[in-house]
Amino acid sequence: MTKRLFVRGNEAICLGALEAGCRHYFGYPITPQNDIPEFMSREIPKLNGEFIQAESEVAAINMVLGAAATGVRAMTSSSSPGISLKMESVSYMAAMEVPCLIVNISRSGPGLGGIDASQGDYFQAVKGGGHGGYHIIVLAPASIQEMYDLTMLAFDLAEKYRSPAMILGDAVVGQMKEPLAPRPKPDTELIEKNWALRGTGEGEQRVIKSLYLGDGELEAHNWKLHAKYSLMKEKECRWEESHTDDAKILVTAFGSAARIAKTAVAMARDEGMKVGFLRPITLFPFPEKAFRDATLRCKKVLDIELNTGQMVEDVRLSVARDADVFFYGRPSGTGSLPTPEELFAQIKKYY
Amino acid sequence: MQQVFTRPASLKDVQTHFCPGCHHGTVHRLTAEALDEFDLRKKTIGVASIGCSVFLYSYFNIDVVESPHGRAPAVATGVKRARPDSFVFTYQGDGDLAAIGTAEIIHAANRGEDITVIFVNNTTYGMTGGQMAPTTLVGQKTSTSPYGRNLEKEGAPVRVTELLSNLDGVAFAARVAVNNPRNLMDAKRQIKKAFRYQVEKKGFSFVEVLAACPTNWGMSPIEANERVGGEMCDYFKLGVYKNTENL
Amino acid sequence: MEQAGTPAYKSDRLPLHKIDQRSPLMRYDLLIAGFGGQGALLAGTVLCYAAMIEGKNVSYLPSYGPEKRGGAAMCTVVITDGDVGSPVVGNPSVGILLNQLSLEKYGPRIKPGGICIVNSSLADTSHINRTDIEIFEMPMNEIAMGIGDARLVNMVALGAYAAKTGAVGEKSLEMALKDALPERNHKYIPVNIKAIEAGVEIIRKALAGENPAEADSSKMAEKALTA
Repeated sequence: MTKRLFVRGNEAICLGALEAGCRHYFGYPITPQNDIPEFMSREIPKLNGEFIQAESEVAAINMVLGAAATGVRAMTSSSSPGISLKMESVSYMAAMEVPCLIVNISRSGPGLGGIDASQGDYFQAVKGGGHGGYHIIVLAPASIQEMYDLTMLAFDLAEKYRSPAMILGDAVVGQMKEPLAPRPKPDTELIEKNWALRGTGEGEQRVIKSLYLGDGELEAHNWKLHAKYSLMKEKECRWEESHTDDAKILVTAFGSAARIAKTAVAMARDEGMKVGFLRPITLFPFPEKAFRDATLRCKKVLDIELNTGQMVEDVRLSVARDADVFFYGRPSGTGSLPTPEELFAQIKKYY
Repeated sequence: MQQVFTRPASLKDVQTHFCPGCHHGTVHRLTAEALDEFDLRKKTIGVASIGCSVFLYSYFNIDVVESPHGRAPAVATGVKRARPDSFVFTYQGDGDLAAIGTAEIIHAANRGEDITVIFVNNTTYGMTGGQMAPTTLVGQKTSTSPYGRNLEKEGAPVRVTELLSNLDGVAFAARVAVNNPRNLMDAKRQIKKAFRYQVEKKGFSFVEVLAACPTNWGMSPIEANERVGGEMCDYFKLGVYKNTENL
Repeated sequence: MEQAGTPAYKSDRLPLHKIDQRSPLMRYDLLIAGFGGQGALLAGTVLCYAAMIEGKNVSYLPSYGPEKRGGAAMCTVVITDGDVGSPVVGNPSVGILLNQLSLEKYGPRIKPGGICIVNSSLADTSHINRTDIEIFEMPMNEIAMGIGDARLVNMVALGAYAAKTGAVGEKSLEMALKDALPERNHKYIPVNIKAIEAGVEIIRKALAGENPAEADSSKMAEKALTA
C-alpha cells in the first residue's frame, strides 16, 4: 500500500485534478478555497501546465472555456459569491457542451455572508445556476478521500457527457485533514474528442457555439441536452446507504452535513433505534431511485442540511407517495455548525 | 488569363448578413487575406464575440469558439495557453470590448498574451439596434441617447488604442479605417503587422478599425463613409501607437 | 463503474464502536484550543500523524478566527479503528485547553466522565465547577521554558494526552514529528521530543499520586529530560 498522505480537502482536490491529467487552472482568490490556487500556482508550472490568477472570476471561467474548447482538462475553483459570477459562462459551456471542472468550496450566504461551511448553494448547483435551463454534473464529497476520488471522476464524467462538472464542497471538507490514499487515475476509456478546436489542418472546420437561430434548431438542441440529462440519471447516480433494510426512519444528508449525521445515526443505533442512512453522492443526477426504493419500506425520512431546506425538495419529489419527509436545517454562520448530539435529538424527535 | 482578384481561402463562399455599407465585410476580408498571406488558416482558432461579429464562424473557414459578451480576450487566453502553437485572434465590437469587456481586454493586454485583437469601432451597439456605446461621439444621437451623448453625464468617448498603448504588455497597437482605398491599404498593412507579432511570438497585438454602421446611424452608405473619414477620424486619430519591435 | 440502481457504497460500518459488538472499535475524540501561536493546530496535526503511523483513521478539523496572528485557534481530532463519522465534535471526551479563554469557552462542553488537560500557566480552574470530569492542571509554559522554549507548550500537552488516554503511543508521537514538521524545522525535533517526554512524565507522576500543580516545574522538566 502506498503511504497515506495527510492533507486538507482543498489539497486533495488539487492532487486528484493533477492525477486526472489537468494541467490548466484559472482562478481568482476567495476564502475558503485559497489553498487550491496556491497549490496549483506552485505545482502546475513544474508540470509544464498553465496557471493564471485571472483579473476576475468571470475572466477565470472564460479562460477555462477557451482552454477546454481545445480539449484539454481545465478547471477553476471558487466559493459561493465567485461561483455566482461564473454562472454566465457555465450556462454557455453547458450549451456548447464543453467539459470542465468547477470547484465550489461554498461559504455562507446570501450576499457576502460569511466564510463558514454552508450548503446554501445546492439549488444553484443542481438547478443549473445560470440562465436558460440546463444542468451540470454535481458531486458532493464527504471525506478527503472523496475530494480526491470524485475530482478524478468529475473529469471523466465531464468528458463522457461533454458537460461541465462541479465539486460542491464547503469549508469543513475543504479545510479538514484526513488520510488520503492517492490511488492512480482509473483506466477509463479514452473518448475521442472529435469536437475539440485545433485549427482545421486538412480537416473540416470545427465550431463551438451556443447560438442557434435557424428554424427549430434551438429546440432540437435543448431536447438533445435534455436526453443527455436523462441518460445521466439512468447511468450515473451514486449514493451511500446503510441500515436501510430495517429502518423506521431514514436520515439523509449530503457532504459535510452527512458526516455529522452519520455519527448521529450511529448514536441512535447504539440505543437500539432502527435508523437508516442515505447519502447522495451525485446531487445531479439526483439518486431518485434510491430514495424511492428505500421509502417503499421505510415511511419516514429526516433530511438534514446546512441551509433552510433545499435538497429536501428533491427528496420529496423522489420518495414513495406515502412517505413523510421531515427537515432539520442550520443555515450556516459562525457557531451554527450542528453537532452529532444535536442531530441525534432531531432523530429522536421524529422517530 | 491571369487571375488578379479572388476570394481569400480563409473566407467561405457565402453571403453575409451585414447591412449595405457596413464595414464588417471589409474588415473580414482584410483579416482573411492576412491569414492567407501568412498561411495561417489551418492553424487558426478564432474567437467570436457578441454582436454583429458573432457570425465569424459562418464566414471564416477556420475553427471558431464563441465567447460570452466581452469575454473574448479571456477565452482567447485559455485557447492560446492550451495551444501555444495555434494562431489565435479575437474579433470584437466596441460595445463588447470597451464596455462589458473592459476588464478582460485590459488584463489580457497587460499580461502580454500572444494573441491578436481586431477591434471594430462603429460608435454604437449595432446588433441590438444602435444604442449608445462607450465610443459614441459627444452629441451623437442613438436609441439610448436620443438628445445626443452628453459629455457631463455620460463622459467622453473612450479611446481604446491610446489606453492600451500605455500598458507594457502591449507590443503593437494601431488605429486604422477602411473608408477609402488609401486607409484600406494601410489597414491591411497594420493587420498584417499585428499578425506578424503573433507569428513571431512577440506579444499582444491590437488593431482598432473605425467602421461605418449606416443602418443604425440613419445614413446612406456614402454618408456613413464620410462620417468615418470626418468626425470619427477627427476624434479617433489614425496611426500606429505602439510598435515595440519596429516590424 | 457502478450499475444503475446500486449504491456506490453499501456499508454496515457506522462510526460508533458499540454498533458492531463482535469487534469493538476504539474511538477517541479530542478538542485542542488556545490562542494563535500556542501550537494548538500543530498539536492536532502531530497527533493525527501519530495515529496514522499506528494504522488508524483520523480526522482533523481546524477552526480559527479571521486574524492571521494572535486570534483563537481550535481543532477537533477523531482517532478510530473504524469509520470516523463526524469530524465535528460537540462534546469532546477530552479537551486540551491552553489559555483562560479556551477553558471558559470549551471547559463546559467536555463530556461528563471526560478529561480536561489545562495549561495552568495561563488558565485558572478555580471557578470551573465541574465534578463530573477529571481535570489535570500543569504549568505548561514553565515546563516548556524549562526545556528551552515557550513554544513547546503544545508538545508538553500532547505528551500528557498520550500518557493519560493511550490514544497513541509516545513513540508514534515522536515519529510523527518528522511527518508533521517541514524539513527546515527537523532540527527542532529533539527538543520537541523532550517536551513530549516531559508531558508524559507529569501524567505518570500525577497518576502515581504526585500533584503536578504543586511540583517545581523547572526541576520536573529537568528530571523528565534526564529520565
